[in-house]
Amino acid sequence: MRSRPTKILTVLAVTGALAAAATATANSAPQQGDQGKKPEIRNVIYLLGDGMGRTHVTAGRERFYGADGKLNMERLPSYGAVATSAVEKGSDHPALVTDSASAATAWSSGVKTYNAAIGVDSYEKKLPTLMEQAKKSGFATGNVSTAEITDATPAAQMSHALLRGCQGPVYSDAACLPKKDDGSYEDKPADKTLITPIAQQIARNGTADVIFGGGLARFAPDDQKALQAQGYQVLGSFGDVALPAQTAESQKSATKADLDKVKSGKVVGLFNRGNMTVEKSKAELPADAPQKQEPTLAELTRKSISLLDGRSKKGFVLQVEGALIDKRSHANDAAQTLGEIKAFDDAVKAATDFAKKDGHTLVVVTADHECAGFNIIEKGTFTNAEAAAPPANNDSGNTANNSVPARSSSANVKDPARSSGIVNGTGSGSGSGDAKNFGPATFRTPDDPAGVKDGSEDASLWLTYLSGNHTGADVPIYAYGPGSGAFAASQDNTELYTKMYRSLFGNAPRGH
Amino acid sequence: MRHPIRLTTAAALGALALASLTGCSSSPAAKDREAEPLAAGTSAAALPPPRSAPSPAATLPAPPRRGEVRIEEGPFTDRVRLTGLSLTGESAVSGHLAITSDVSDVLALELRAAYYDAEGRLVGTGSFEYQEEGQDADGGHHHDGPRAAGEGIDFKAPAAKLTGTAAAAVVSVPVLVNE
Repeated sequence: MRSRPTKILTVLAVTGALAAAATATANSAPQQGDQGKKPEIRNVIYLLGDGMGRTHVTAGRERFYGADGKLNMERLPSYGAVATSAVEKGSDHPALVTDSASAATAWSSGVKTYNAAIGVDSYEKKLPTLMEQAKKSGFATGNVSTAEITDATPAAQMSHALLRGCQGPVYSDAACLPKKDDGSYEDKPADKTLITPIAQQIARNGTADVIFGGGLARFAPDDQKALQAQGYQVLGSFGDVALPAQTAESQKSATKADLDKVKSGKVVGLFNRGNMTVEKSKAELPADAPQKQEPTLAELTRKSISLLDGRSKKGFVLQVEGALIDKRSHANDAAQTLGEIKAFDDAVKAATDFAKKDGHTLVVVTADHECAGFNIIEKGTFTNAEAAAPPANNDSGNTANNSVPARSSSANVKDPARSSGIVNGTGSGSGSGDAKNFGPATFRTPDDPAGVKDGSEDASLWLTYLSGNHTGADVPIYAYGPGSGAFAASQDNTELYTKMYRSLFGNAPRGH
Repeated sequence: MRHPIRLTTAAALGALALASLTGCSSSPAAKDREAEPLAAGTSAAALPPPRSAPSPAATLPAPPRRGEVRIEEGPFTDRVRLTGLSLTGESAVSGHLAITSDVSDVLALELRAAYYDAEGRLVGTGSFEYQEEGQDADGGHHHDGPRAAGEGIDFKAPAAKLTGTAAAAVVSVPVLVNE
């Protein structure tokens, strides 16, 4: 008798879940994977634009394809939203704005954790990751990023650290140990993995078969030796074993030419000692600049797929990060941000092109969080940051509508000291050199008349920023392929782990 | 006539629920995927203890000039600009560090100084540590004081325990992490 209420509740809960799934699918356009008999999901390709909020997508669309166009990710049939909050350390109390580490742990392990945590929960307990579970189960695995490969997003699939800063090449208290409330460092944990530099972990745990990104400076020659002992091809060189510390001169970054030569097997390619180069800057460099030797994210994605496809009869899991959308959004550099959105979207096309041919590949495209409150304002208008005072808050016709504080519309004008001109539009002729200027960044779109220049008042796309930090806005999610309808929902970022786990293994992860 | 349909639907949902609870919803192929051992050739290498920054040289190759502060090339010296380096009478290296690439927020920074006597023998070490990790978390460990990003940060790395008189120093940057 006592178990009956539980059973009834379970039936109701499942009924609700089925109804929700049916609604989400019904709201999506018909797609290959969800029609008729469902094909088996063999591969999951998870792509994320770091810091890419809804407006980043809209701005990218309007900049490159016009108001009636679509980015490749927007052409995917299933569309939803993802909530991204974190929790405070040592508790389950919400922290409403996440960082990349907490967000990546949420989708890698299905658990909310504190900002800066990599693959551990809020209480510093190590969590299994989807990529580890896939690897252990016999799937081929890949991890690609335009950031240092030890950075939070790629790290959360293939390492565990109390702090995301513990990247290497060496341990230090400041990088690897959280601080207590009194400002002293926490004691070192019993499990030393959690304070072992992420580069050392990646080089030894074999979690990803294909590893492409930046971050060569985080690694040392003994990491290269450990990788090669596990059967990896290592592109470039991690340095000179005779030196106590590696330098820009002793290490050799991998190049696109190195990448082109790889035809099969496990591979590590680190194409820059730091983050990979922003595409817009790379395009403007002379032909012989070393940064020109770096592959694009789309090229890395295509190569990863070619290496992983068929490597295991079970299939593969591949994570691809467009990391520099976030890094350039922190800097409020709209021109570079837009270029990185385009580069990421090209990688989405590379993934979906494969998925369309394969028929057994689920492609999920989303973000970890929004960055900088990126926004599109009407041409010729201005933001609060540029204004002498906030908008009017006064109704003299019906004083009952007045609020506090009352403000006059006359004060809501552009402050010439805070808005000295349009900034950050390529080819701008009117751009201000004033580093304290809050003016918008303006860009032409394909809908603008010929001759309209970026950075001019005539350009139709006016972009602004709220801050230089992450925001708590939900992020968009797009999906294609078998099982993609499950993502056409309003969901929490921890649910991405559960859904991808189900796609790979056919059942729910333990405890979820 | 409607009851059997209702019952069938309820039974199906119940079966789905039970399957969901017991993990029996997997297709045969999916179930087959679940418990395979680590694939051949993927065995991980043993994880060594956390790697430490290299110890400073016991002696300098040539005796230093009094008050000289050298910069030792390392993994991040191409990403920073060190200016105003000086060795003060109180045996501390001070100066200004600005980061010149990957210029978003600085999560962690460590600068080490090795102190040498007039003959170039190591007589002590010191360090400057900077951490602002987790500062975005409510109730987390917010960084107070000057920030290392942007224009950079002034630093001082006092010698901890000197075994002689410091006449010169060598500065290295073993840790630098950007957001």
